[in-house]
Amino acid sequence: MKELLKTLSLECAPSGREKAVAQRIEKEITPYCDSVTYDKIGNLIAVIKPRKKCPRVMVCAHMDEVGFMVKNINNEGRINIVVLGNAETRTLSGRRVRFLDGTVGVVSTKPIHVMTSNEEERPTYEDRIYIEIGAKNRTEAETLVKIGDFGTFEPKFTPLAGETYAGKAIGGRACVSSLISLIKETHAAKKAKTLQKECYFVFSVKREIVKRMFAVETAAFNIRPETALVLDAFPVCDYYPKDEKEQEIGAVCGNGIVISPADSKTVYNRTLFANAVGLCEKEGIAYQYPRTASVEGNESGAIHKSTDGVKTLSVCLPTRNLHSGAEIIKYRDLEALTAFTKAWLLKEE
Amino acid sequence: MEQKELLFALSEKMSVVGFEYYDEEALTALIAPYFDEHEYDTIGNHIFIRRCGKENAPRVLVDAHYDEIGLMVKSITDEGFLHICNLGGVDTRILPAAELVVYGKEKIPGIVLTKPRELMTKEEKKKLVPMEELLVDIGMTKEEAEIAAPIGTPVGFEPVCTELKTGYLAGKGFDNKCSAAAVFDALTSLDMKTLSCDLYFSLSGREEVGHRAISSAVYRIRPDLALVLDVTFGNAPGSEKICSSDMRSGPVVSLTATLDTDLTDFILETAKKHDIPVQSVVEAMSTSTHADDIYLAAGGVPTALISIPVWFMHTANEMVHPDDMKASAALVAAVIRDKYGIAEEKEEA
Repeated sequence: MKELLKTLSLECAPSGREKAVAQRIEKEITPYCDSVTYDKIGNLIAVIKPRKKCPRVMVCAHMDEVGFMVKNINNEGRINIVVLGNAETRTLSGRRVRFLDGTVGVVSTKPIHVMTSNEEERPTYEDRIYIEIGAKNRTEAETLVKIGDFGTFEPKFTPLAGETYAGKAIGGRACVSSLISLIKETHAAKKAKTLQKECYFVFSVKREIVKRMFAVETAAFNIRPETALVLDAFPVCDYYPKDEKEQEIGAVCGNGIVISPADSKTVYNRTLFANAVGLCEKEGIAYQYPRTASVEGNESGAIHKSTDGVKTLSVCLPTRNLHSGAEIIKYRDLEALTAFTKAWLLKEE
Repeated sequence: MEQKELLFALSEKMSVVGFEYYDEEALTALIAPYFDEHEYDTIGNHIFIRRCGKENAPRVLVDAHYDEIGLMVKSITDEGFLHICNLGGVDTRILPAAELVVYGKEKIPGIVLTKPRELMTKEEKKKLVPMEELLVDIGMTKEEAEIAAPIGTPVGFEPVCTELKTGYLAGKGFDNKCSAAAVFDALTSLDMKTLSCDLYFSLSGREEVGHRAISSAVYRIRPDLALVLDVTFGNAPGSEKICSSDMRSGPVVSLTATLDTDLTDFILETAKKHDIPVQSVVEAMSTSTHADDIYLAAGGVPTALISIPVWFMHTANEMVHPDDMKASAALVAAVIRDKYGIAEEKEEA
């Protein structure tokens, strides 16, 4: 799974241009599924069903990542961007970025030698930066980059000590790799005739641009599951001292999957929540509760309200530096996530 | 050796201020075969010499500082994260989520942690986290980190060099390794039989913390003439207030009252004579480079400054154009040839 994680995290798939990752996933899962299709807006949906009629379950993880679009190219050939999703603009200064055709650029930063003390204290905002690709002027720049082009952080995969992995989009892609391994397990269960659920696996698009509705909504509408499980990355800040209210820490990297009772978009189904905790206890899977409910909600927000309502649960992977060019996860958390999804889908009645 | 290859090879070497000897063997293997002798001193200067074989030949020093900005492990938290401090002028702005290398007994990859925006207060969003509050994640426990990366361990940017589609090169430590590559090219291109001087190439140390080592190199060499190559600011938005120069328009000769004005004039004439593109910049009373120090060192040395324009100085992605490096090399070689060339050519002229 480590190899798969690496491969997936090196692919570039900013919201709206997920094809590279989608094709990679499709190739990986097709041999194990009854069907693999795209819906009308690009969500990748894989199905594995037993012969008899069973309850319908949907498990999803998003394919896309934060990135940017080219807003303008000025006469000097410098490129202004607009950030897609919650990309951490304060991690952009002086960083390498890549356009989808492979063109590499560097995000501007004023040399420290000429910065005023007032400027020195301010973080980077997207309207104060540009991307330099070294073009002489607009005409030369436009041979390489056009207005509306998409880009992401430069792909890089860095294994740290203690089975810790860093790279762009690694939180989301870890969930994707977990879902892929769940598909393989489900296939095995079907062969062994132990599969008790109609399983719909959704790799969704455009999750990061949360200002709009979640695109996964269409998948939920078409599938009409009774139950849904959402896998996503969870922002973690376990390295800074918590504030007086002890609210900032969120969760701890390495302490297991995050099972939320609620977040800013969803109050999770109480039974599913309680059962999930019980399942972790029974199976010895490391889990934790987030210590804050203020965390921005994920795709559950759209799914649980879909059609006439879907019982929804979300389990998340604690991720440091979320939405930066170097997100960090602990492999043992990913193992816990994979173990949980397997137990939840294939063992639970 | 092509300039680009040499630049990339030099960039890969670890030479954080004060640790210029870290990759000394590799540096020697890279440079020394092209020179007659080399001398290393105790404070970070690496000197390579080419001899003309004549007695009492004048000594020409060409200096390009070899050290680069970096960081140092200041303390280790109970969780095993590293606190860092500045060695030279690293801009805090480029650090969140930066990929670093901790140069302990082994090279340890590390990622700078940044607080997710979702968990920031309104005030925090407006502020840059100061360097003393930043933490580096190396995936280790405190006990492991104390052995692998004890306090005082130098930290550098991960070396990644890229040639962009426009021909520009981007990478770390190009301040001042692009000058070093240009000087190497110039000095090794000269035919020593046609020269009446010895050539001293100093890859000097400790420039980034206030030019601490160069006077010792001058003391050792006692040069009769010195050329200094360093980097200067390429034109970019926000650089109007400082003396900046055009990219891709040739080396920049400093017009200044602090250095040898006759030598400066000679350089400009030489450029004109040989049709080498050149630009100039006024730095009236100080150049803030080794040139100022060499000029007054060891009894005084006629000195001039030639600079290569770069973008995003003091970041992990400094950008330089190979044309500027090539023109700088051509200029240095032409100046030495025209000043110390012997016999036929000069007499005929």
